[in-house]
Amino acid sequence: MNDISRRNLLRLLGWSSASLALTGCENSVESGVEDVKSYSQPQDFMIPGVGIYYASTCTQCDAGCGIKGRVREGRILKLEGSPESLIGKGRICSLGQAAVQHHYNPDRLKEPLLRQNGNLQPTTWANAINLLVERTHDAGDKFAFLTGPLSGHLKVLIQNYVESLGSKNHFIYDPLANKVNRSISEQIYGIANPLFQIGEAKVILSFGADFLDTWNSPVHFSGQYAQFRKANDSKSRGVLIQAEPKMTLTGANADRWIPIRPGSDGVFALGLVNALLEDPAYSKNVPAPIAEAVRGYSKARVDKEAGAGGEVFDRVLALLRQRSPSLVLSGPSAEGHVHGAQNAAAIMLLNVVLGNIGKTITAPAKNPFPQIAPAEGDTAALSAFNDGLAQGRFQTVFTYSVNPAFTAPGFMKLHENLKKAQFRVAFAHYRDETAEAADLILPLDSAMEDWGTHLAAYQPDGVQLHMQQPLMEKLYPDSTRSLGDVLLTLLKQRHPDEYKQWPDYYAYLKSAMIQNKPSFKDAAEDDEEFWYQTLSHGVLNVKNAQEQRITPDLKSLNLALPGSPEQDQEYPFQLVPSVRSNLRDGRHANLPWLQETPDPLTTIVWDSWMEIHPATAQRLGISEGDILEISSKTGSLKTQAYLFPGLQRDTVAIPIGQGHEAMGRYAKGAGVNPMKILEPVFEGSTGEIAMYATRVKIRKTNERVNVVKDEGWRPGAINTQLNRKIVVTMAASKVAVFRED
Amino acid sequence: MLLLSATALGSSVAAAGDKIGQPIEFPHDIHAGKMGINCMFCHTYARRSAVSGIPPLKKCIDCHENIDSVKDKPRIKKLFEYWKTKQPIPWKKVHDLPDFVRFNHERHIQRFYFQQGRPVEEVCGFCHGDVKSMTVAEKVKPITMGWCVSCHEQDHHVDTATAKTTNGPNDCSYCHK
Repeated sequence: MNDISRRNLLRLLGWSSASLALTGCENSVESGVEDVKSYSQPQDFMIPGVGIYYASTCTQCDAGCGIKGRVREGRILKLEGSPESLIGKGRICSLGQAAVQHHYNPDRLKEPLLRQNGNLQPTTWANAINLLVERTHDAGDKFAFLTGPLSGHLKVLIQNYVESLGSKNHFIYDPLANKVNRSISEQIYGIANPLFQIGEAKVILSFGADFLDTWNSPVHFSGQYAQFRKANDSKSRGVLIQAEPKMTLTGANADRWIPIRPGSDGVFALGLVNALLEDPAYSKNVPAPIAEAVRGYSKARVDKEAGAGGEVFDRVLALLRQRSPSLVLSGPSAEGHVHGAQNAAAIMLLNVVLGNIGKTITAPAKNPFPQIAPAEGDTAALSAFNDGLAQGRFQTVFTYSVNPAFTAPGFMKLHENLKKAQFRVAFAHYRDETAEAADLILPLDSAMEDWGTHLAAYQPDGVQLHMQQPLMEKLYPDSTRSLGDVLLTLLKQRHPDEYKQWPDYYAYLKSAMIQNKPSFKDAAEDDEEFWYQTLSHGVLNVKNAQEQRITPDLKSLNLALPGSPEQDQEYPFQLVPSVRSNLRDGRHANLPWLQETPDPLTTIVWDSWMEIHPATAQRLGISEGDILEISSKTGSLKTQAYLFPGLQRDTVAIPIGQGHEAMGRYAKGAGVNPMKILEPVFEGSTGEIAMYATRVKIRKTNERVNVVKDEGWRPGAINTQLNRKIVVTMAASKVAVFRED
Repeated sequence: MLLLSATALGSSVAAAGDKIGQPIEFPHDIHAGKMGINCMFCHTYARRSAVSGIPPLKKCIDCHENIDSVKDKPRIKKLFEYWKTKQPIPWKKVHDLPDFVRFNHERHIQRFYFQQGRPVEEVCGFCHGDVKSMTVAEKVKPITMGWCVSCHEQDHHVDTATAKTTNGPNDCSYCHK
């Protein structure tokens, strides 16, 4: 063997592994190995190999798009948008596409777990239900239930259950809530969720509203955006201006992107209002005190405080004057400050001055079902829940559809406060951070195994009720349950007479829907026929939904904006905890498709990063891949640097959603969680967590990594995927240079 | 190392001609041969789907409920035992293809049986062999890519109405999706 050179050895190894590979292929032919089973008694419409589509509702975010799931041989394979749903109109986003991975996820909980001697041990459902009954028996106000946003009949059951225990502690928490906007909308427009007619606008000025990717109802808005960008007989192609400290996907699509200082949105908006009011055409509808209040917001002040003066200011002003109707949107970067309400109010005032109300900002139809109407969440609910825990007021706590142990800011010390409760129950799909801290974990059916009704908070046209139905048999029929079934069981213990008529959640939903039949358009006369109609269409249109009108009320408008803050020497940068379309608040971090999908702006996968402006990076001697320590007053974390020109220069951004310490093999250990270093700053009028108000300092460590990304171009080179020339790519600007040559 | 290569190349699962044991020794020879039943009477999905499908248990029962003469035969007794518990029969798959190959039964049946009007035993038998002479199905054709291509390269009549001929598609993506 000594005379075998290294090269020959490798050649031999190559030959032997190649032949193994050949047999490997042959082994994939499993003649005589695999069982093939037929149905014993098939339905006529079931043809093996041919898919059947069932209607349901996407539950990946709260937009509530209707879906059709392709089922073949009894397995759900792929989701598509349902054309009958007026939210998505036949489209769904990447989150929706990835929903099947929640269903088939190998880390799904497969049995109830009970903490015994400090460890979580398998238990039975019967035992679990007994414990739930026992521990809530006389809980009263010592019981608290923290859920995500809810609508439909599950909301009714949860509220009835909490009420039946004599508790008032149902907290609805949404880490990415736009509560500030809703509350100011309510105050000025009289409607919390007005409709934004993006397709009708000729110019849009968006203050950080990432409506194409993460804001409100992105699939619906993407459809509207196509109309907005298309010229037709009555309008030219719409112009999009995005003003925000960190570029979002919507910002990247804008005609003009303006990097304003974090929190200066209101100043910019009022500067525009002030300039517009010089023209009587705009000032006639504005009360004198308001005109007086905005007088100080000169172009010079906008330049100084927001960094958007000069030519930029003039151009935006000219576009707003020339193109009517326009639309001004207020997004999370405007509302995530102490003065978030004033920012939102300033933006809404700009809409009123521009005469957009009734044109591009309209009222939705009135929802005729107050009981099942959407209950949107906020972050103040988390604070209230956390305070109750800290004060030891809650002995028994339930959580569902939220992961506060992961999403709560570090300063809240929620993890420690949870320990003060004596019995913590997590209704969950995975062993996420909150479940790990629980005493009892109850495994729920996946969204593709469960029943439900959904009413979206943002209803673009009329009112539609969306049905959720199982798209296949349960994967773990003996161990997972529907929360609706569990709640009904518990409610039957409290009020047997009221609930005994419904054997299960399915029967409850069916009877509730049939009871409401007269409210729906084109409902079949026969109850059973109506029920099948409901399930086969997946959406029900409400009959004669009452129209509403917006009459803006500017009386109690608070426009007192603070001046620009002093330069903070110790913590020189403002932190933007940006929202990634695929991971959102982190609930989808365990879906490999979404981890693998490159972030649309940086193309990074499977990790976290901190974005820093190239000029700032150069000043600090930071280059791509440097491991940085980012510290706020409440904590610090380490992640890789990514140089990104889409930032205001004193701002750094770290996406949220990563940094899980639990939640399965795909989520755990990837990246960092910037929520943990947020400062305890709250919005003044609503008490919401001010997400954009944290200041940080940066220290370069000696470590350095290669950033794992798909990005093609870097300055001075044509990227060839680490010199492999798989797909040679270059920036569009480079193409232009070549053409000139 | 060379020895390892040789053994590795030599091994395989059920090759052409191997007889595969089944839970019930289904007599194709009686059904398709003696009784002359069309293959698609039982393999009803072949003309409507990419996969031909194993006949549902109900299909067997619908006929055999009414055939008293064979009710005492051990194979039929076993069949009714499965039916009683509504358990599918765990047949072993005989004609398997690698996961990266997509063969479409519907296309072939529609073309050669319905459009060209060739006899069913010829159309199905081209890949599955002379099933009329078998009890349980046996793999008798190689069903390799070269074997598929040897037929796709030939000209075939489009239908009975015209003299027009065409060969089978030879794009990789037709079978490797």
